Amino acid sequence: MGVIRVLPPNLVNRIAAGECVERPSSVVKELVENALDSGAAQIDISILDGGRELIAVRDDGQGMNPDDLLLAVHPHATSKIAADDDLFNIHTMGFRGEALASIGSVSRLAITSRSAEADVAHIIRVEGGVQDDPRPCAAPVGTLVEVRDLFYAVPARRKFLKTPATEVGHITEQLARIALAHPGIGFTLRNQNRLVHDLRSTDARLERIADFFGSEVAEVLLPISRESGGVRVEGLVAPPKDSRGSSKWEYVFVNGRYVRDRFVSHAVKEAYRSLIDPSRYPMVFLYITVDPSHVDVNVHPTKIEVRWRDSNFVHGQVLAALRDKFLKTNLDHRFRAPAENEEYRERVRGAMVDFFTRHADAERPVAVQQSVHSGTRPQPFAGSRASESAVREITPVDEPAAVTCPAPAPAAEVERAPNAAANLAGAVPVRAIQVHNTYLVVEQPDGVLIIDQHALHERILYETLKRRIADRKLESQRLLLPEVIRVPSDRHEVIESHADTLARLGVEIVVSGPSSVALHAFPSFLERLDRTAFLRDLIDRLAEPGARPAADTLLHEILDMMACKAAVKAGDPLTPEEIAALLAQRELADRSSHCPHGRPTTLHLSLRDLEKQFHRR
Amino acid sequence: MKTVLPRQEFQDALTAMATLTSGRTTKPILSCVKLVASKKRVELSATDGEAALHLGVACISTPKEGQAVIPADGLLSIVRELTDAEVSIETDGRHCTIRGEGSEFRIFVMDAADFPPVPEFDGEADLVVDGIELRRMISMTLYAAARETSRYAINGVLWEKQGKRLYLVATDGRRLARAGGEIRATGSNDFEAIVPARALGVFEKVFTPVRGEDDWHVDVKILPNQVLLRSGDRVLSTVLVEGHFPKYQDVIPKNNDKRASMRRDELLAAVRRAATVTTEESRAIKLAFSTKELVITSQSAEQGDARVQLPIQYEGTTVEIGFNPHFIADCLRAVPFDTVFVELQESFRPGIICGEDKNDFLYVVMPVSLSN
Repeated sequence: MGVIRVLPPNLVNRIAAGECVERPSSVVKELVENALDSGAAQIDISILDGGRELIAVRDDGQGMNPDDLLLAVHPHATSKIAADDDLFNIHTMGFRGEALASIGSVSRLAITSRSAEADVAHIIRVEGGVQDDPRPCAAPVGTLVEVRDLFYAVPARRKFLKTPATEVGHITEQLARIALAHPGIGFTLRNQNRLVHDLRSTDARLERIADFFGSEVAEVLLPISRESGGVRVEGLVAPPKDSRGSSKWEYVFVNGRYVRDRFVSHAVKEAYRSLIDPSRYPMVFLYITVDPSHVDVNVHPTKIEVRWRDSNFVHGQVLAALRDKFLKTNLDHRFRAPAENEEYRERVRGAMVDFFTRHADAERPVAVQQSVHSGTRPQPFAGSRASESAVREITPVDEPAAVTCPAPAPAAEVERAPNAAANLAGAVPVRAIQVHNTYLVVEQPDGVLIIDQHALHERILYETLKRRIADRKLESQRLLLPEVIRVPSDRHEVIESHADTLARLGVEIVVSGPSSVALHAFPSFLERLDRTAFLRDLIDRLAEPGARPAADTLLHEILDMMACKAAVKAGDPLTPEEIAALLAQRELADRSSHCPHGRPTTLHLSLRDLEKQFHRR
Repeated sequence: MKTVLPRQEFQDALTAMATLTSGRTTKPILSCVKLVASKKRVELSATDGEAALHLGVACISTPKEGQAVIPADGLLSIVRELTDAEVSIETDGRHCTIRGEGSEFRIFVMDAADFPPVPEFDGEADLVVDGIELRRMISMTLYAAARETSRYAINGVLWEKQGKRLYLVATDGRRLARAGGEIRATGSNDFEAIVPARALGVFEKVFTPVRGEDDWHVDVKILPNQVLLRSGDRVLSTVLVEGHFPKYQDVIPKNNDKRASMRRDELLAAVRRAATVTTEESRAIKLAFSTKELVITSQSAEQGDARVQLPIQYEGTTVEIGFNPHFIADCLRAVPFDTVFVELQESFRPGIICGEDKNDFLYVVMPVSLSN
C-alpha cells in the first residue's frame, strides 16, 4: 500500500484554519467582516476568557435561511463572489469562503440566523467539523455566531494561546482596525459581560477615533486630503510632536480594509522624516480609496497585504498629502505648563459630566453640555460623552493650528513671510538672549520662544543646502593633492554607482587602486571638517546593508550629515548679530520647527501659560 | 639654588618659554620651566614633549648654584607683576621663593630629576642660513600648512635642501606654498625633513633678529628624527614629522599660459572687498580676467553680491575662475612683492601666484567649482 493518501476534508479544514484562524482575534476579524458584508448597522461582540470559552458576534444584517446555513459552513462556499472576474473586483471584506469552515473544524460553532423575510430563525451547530442539520429557533433578524472552546480540537494550538488579557488586547486591536474603517456602523465589545467599547455610529472618522482612543488622541490630529488619478487619500494625522513609541499607530485602510503596506509606510516615514526622532513613530490614520480593480487584496489569507497596480503613484499621493499639510502648519512644540491648566480642568469636567450622565439614565444632558454642543446633528444618545464634545468643537475647523492648540489661546498660523520681511527690515526688533550658550530665548507678541540653537541652525543649513542643490549652486573646492583613502574593493562598486549623487553634493571620488579611492573635490561648505573622517562615514553609509536607498533619500541623509556637522553646537557662544541672523533665517526656512533628525527646535511658552503660572488669571 | 636676575630679561625669556608650556597637557611637568643656575648665567629650558626651547640669561649673581623645575605660568605672572630691576629666585627641594623689593612669593616646585632631557646642539651646524631670509621663508609658507588633519605629513613644513638652496614647502591639500632661499654655508648632503608647523610658530615668535647684530644667522642641524635651530644661545629643537610629504612637484602646473600681473596691495584689497559678502557656506569669489582688467564678483543668497574691478597687465584670452578668497588673501598678505603674477590655464585647473622668480616664491591654489 502506498504511503501517500488524500486527507479527509475535515483535516484539510483544520490545516486551512492554521492560516486564517491563528488566535481568537482572527476569529473575531473573520466574523465581524462577515457581519459587515451582511449589511449590518450594529455589530456586538462578546468575549469570555479571552476568547477561549466564547466568542460571539451578533449583527442585524440580512441574515440567512436554512439552506444558506448549511452551505456557509462548507469550505469555499460564499455568497460574496461568483465568477473569476469578481476576484479582481472585490467590494466585500471576505471572498475566500474559508473562514466559517475553518472555525467550525477547530471549535464548537453555532450559527443562529434569520433573514428579513423569514418568520423564524434557524440554528446550525458544528463541532470539530461535524455538523448538525439546521433547526428552527427564535431570534431577531440578523445573525449570531457563537464560537465556543476554540481550538479544543487542536490542543497543540490551544497551548499557544497567551493569557486572556493578551488575547483581549489582540481582539481590541482587531476591532480598532475594523471599527476605524467603518465609523457608520455601531460596535460594542463586551469582555466577561462588561462593556469595554461602545462605538456609536457616526459620520465623522475623527469622532470614531476619539471614541476609541480618547479625545487626547483625537484632538491633536490634523485632517489631510488629496485626490488625483483615481486615488483618494484622506486621513487624520498627528503633528510630529505627537509621535509615538510604537509603529502600531500607523493605521492604513485601503477601501475600508486595514492593511500593512510597505509603500504606504515608506511614504509616511518619508513625510515625517527629519521631523520626528528616528526612534519614534508617527501616528496616522490614512484612508485610501481606489478603484477595486487597481488593487489586489488576494495576496495573503488574512488580507493584510495588498498589491498595487501602480505602487509608486500611491506612494507619491500619500507623501504629497502629508507634506502639503506639514508645510502649511506651524509645528512648533507648545510649552506644557506642568501644573493645572485649562486642558486638565476640561478633562476633569468632562469626566464628571460623563459620570453623572451615565448614572442618570435617560435624563436630559446638563446645560453645560448643551452650550458646548453645536447642536447641528441629532445625538444618538441623550448623554453624550465629554470627550465627544471636545471633538465636536474641533471637527468642523479646517484651521490646523486650532487643532494643535487645544488651549483657547489662538495659535499663530503660519503666515511667515510678512513676519520675516518685517524682521529683516528691522521694523520689529527681535528681543532675544542666549542662555547657557545653548538656547535662545525670544520675545514674541503672544509669549516666549525657547530655541535650541544647534537644532535650529542645523535645520536652516539643511534647507539652504537643499535649495543650493536644487539650484545647482553648491560650491566645491577642488583638491590639489587628492586625498587617498583605503577602501576595500567590495565598496568600490557602491561608490561608483552613487557617483552622480555625490557629484551633486560637490564630492568627487574616483577609484584609484585595488583598495583605495581618491577624493578630488569636496564641498566648500564643509571646509572645517576632517575630510577623511567624513568620507569614511559617507562610504559606510553608502555600503550599509539592506535596500539600496534611493538617490534622493541618500542625498537627504548626506545633507543631514553635512548640516549637523557644520551647524553651531550647543555651548558655542553667539554674538547678538549671530542670534539676529539665526532668527531671521528661522523665519525664512521651511520646517524650522524641527531639526533634520526630527528633534524640535523651538518651544513656545504662551503669555497665557505664563499668566496662569503666576495666577494672574 | 639661589640666583639674582635682571627682571626684564628674565621676563622676556619666560615669555618665550610660555610658547611651549602654555599648551594643554596631561603631564604637569611639561607646563614647567627648568632653571639651571651657574655663576654667570641661568639656562632656561621648556618642552611640550615634541619641541624644546633652550635660552640663556646672564645673571647678576648666583650665591648658590643648582637647578629647579618651576611651573612656568605661575613664575611668569609673578615676575611680570614685579616692578623691580632685579628679582631673586631661591629654591629648596619643595618651594621656590621669588623676591622683589618689598614682596615675596612662594610657589611649589617639581622634582628636577623628572624633567625630560632637552636635546643640545652639539658639534658643527649642517647648514647656516641668514636669519632674516629664514624668517621670510617661514612666513611665506607656514599659513598654508594643514592643521590637525589625519594626513600627518602635511601638518608640517617640508624643508628640502638642494645644493646651495633651501626650499620650504607647505600644503593643506587645496593650496601649496613654496619659498626658496640661499644657504650661506653647508657641510651636509641634500636632505628632506618635515618640521612640525607648531615648532615653526614658536620659531617666528622667539627667533627675532639680535639687536645690534647686522649679520644675524641661524645654525641648522638635522638629525635622523630631529632638527635643531640655533641662534646665539637660543636653541629650538623639535622632532620631525614622520611620513612622506606628497610629491608636490607633480602638482605644480607647467602649462599655465595665461599670465597677468598686478599690484599686490590692489589685488589684496579687491579680494577682501569681494569676500565681504561671502559666508561660511558660500565662500567663493569669481575672478574674470580680460584685457587690462580684472573683475572680481561674489554673491551669496544670504548677504547679497559684490563686484570689484581693478587694472591689470593682461593680454591673453578671457578666463574666469572661482577661488576661496581666504586662500588668495593668505598668500598676498604673506609675500613682500609690490607686483604679483597670476598664471592660469582653465577654470577647473590650479592657478599660480608668484613673484618675479618662482624659485623664490610660488603658490599653487585649486579653484572652487559649482557642482552640476
